[in-house]
Amino acid sequence: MNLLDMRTVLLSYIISSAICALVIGSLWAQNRRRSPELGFWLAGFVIQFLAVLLIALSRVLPGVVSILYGTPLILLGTLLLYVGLERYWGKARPQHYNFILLGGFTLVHAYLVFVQPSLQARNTNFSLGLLVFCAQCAWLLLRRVEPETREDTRRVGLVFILFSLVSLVRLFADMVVPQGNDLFQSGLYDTLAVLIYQMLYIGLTFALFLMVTRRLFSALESDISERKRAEEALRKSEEMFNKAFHASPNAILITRASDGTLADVNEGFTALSGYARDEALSSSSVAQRLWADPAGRERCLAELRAQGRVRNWEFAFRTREGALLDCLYSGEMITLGGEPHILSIVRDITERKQAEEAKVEYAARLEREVQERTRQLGEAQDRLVRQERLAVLGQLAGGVGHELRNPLAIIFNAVYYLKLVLPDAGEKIVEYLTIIDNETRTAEKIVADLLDFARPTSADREPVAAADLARRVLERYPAPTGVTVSVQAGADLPPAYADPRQMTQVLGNLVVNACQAMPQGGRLTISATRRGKEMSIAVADTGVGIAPENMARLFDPLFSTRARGIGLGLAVCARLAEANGGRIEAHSEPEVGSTFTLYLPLHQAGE
Amino acid sequence: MSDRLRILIVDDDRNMTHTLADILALKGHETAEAASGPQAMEQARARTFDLVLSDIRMPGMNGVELHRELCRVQPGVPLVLMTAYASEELTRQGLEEGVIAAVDKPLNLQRLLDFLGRLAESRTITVVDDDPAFCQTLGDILERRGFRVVTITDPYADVEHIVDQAQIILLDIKLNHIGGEDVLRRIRARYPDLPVLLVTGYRQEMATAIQRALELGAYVCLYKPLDIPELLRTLAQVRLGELRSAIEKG
Repeated sequence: MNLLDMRTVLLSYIISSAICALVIGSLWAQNRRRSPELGFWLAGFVIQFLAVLLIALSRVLPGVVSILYGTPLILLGTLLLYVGLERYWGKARPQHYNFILLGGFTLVHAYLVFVQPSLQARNTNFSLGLLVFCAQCAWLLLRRVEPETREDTRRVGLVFILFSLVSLVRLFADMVVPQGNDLFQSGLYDTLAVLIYQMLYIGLTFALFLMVTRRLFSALESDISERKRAEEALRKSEEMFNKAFHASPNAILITRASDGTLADVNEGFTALSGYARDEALSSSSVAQRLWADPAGRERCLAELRAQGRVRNWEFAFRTREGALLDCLYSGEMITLGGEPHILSIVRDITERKQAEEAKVEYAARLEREVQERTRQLGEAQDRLVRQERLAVLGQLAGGVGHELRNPLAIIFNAVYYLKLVLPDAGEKIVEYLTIIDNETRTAEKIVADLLDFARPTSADREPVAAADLARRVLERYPAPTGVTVSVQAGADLPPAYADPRQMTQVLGNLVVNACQAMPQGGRLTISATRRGKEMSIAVADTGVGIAPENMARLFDPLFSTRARGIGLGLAVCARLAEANGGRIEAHSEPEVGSTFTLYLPLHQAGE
Repeated sequence: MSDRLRILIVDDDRNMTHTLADILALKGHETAEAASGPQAMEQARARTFDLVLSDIRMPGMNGVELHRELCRVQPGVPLVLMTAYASEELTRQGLEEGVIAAVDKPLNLQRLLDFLGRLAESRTITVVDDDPAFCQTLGDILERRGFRVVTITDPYADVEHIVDQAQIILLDIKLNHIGGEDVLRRIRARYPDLPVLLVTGYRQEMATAIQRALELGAYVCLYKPLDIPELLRTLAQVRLGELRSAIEKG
């Protein structure tokens, strides 16, 4: 009886392999979600346990069953473990050749059971198979896995090296040491081998357990540092957002979608709106008051609900003080604390709008100025052309006027003579003589106007009182009966500085015109007043007035609304007024009357 | 003497002189026509005129030049220029040289006729001197020059009588018993504007009296023996303002 009885060894092997299978089973149960490939390990360990059990029970069971299945099952379990390890480390490969090898070993084993039974040969076959698979496992764990995980796998690898070494030693020992055919009659050597396998098996289980634990631990470690990094990144991004939120010159608001209360506002908002942050967040109606147009707010909310976002809508923003600002609104639906919120960004474009308006205004002004200048240029050109024409006209008028005056004078004389010598002439003759007389007078008036117009106007200026002028004018150009004349010229009025003869002519012309505008009679008023450094002498009538369309051309030479007359009277007046440093202005209302005002410079001491 | 005036009409347009002459003749004046300045001078040398009506622009000699020439022959002759359209410069020159007026053609005949009436009146000169011979000779000379002359030798004559129709008074400052000065004072009291010309043969002796008389408003003092052209020029000068205002008023 040996110290190490094979049956005792096998029994402890059964127990230890069961414990090992349980350990791996619990490992699998704990980690199956994270590492389902542990199932292969468990399968391998359970099969090994069954194999050991079958071998141990070979005396009870039919010998064929136990012998036939025991050894191949151990190899199968080893192979399954190998497959599980490969997968655990993400190195899975096709395993056809290993299963073919397994089949080969099984066939050889079957041959050594049934055809030529030999325990020694079977042991050699088994040792070879174990060596092949264990070597592969050792290779996988020590070489094929990633270098940074070899720390975790090294122990398991070493265990498989030991397995391989033991198998190798047995392989050679089996060839040298003679053995019997009964497993249970094995000598010390075999029993020792089984014992060593058992130890290694326990060691393997422990190493596997350790390996899984280490990998879990390092995974946890990397998880933790990953999370830390994520947290750091989150913190940084939050900080950045916070800065962006508050530093933005735009007003940013976050409002709760359900009731419109403000969840947060930035400094841009407090600056723009005038609401303090606390005030804005504590009051539920601030967000609504911001919209000057409630309908616009409703449209905006509808758009946000429908599209989730709004970009650059123009709206009028009402500040706390009630001022209205032109703003651009952009909004976005976001989820905050599980609740829908609206992130709103409001940009004040009042200044931009004002600048745009100013630009438009500026452009319009520029346009107006250009038009005005163009008009002035056109007028200046017209004036130039007119002056040239008038100069020619003046020369012509002077020549023709002079030549006409002599014959007119003779006709006058002749008519006068005839009237004198024919005091008793018939009615018709007197009538015709009167016609000739009147028509000659009209012709003479035209010639006089022409000559006045052609005459170079040089003023012989001296101090002249308005009252004197008015008296002289009315003496020379008396108003017809039916026209009431009133003169308003204060004695305290300082004298004007003008050519009295020319001014008499000018005012006379105005008086004659005024009287002609009142064929049915009326009121003629000559009023002189002081206007700053000027004296104004207004000649007003209550006559028919002047049509508005004629006002502009009133002083144009050759413009006349009368049936008779060539329209030089007022042109000459204007020229004479100008030659005396003055001017004439006309105002008229049809059917009410006209007022022509002559402005003259006042006499300055020392002139 | 009546209001009949001797009028010379000068114009290069015959129809002008003709019609005007006919009208004036109808009004009882004595008229003469000239078609140019030289022709007018010819007439003026032959007879005295009370008034010359002359066109201002004529070929050869213009109206102002004619006036200048006429004054040599007949100092102080009243001349009215007629102008259709003359340069103002020429007109001004004429007025400076003593032309009474420049009137525009066609003439305002009624005004012209009124003026002629005034002209006839202004011819009346009263000579007050106690020396009948002086009065006689001076009267003859002035009448030849177209004036109506009234002579008064009585120093006690009533002022009303002295003035009567007189337009100008020639007053001797040294009358027989009373001084001419007193007569002047009496005239001034009634007719402050009547032109009075003093005449005296005693330049030195009467110096203070002359001085007082001039202060009283006598126009000028002339010394015997009278320089007739100077007297006529002075008379023309005295009449000029009066005639100018007369033609203005028409």
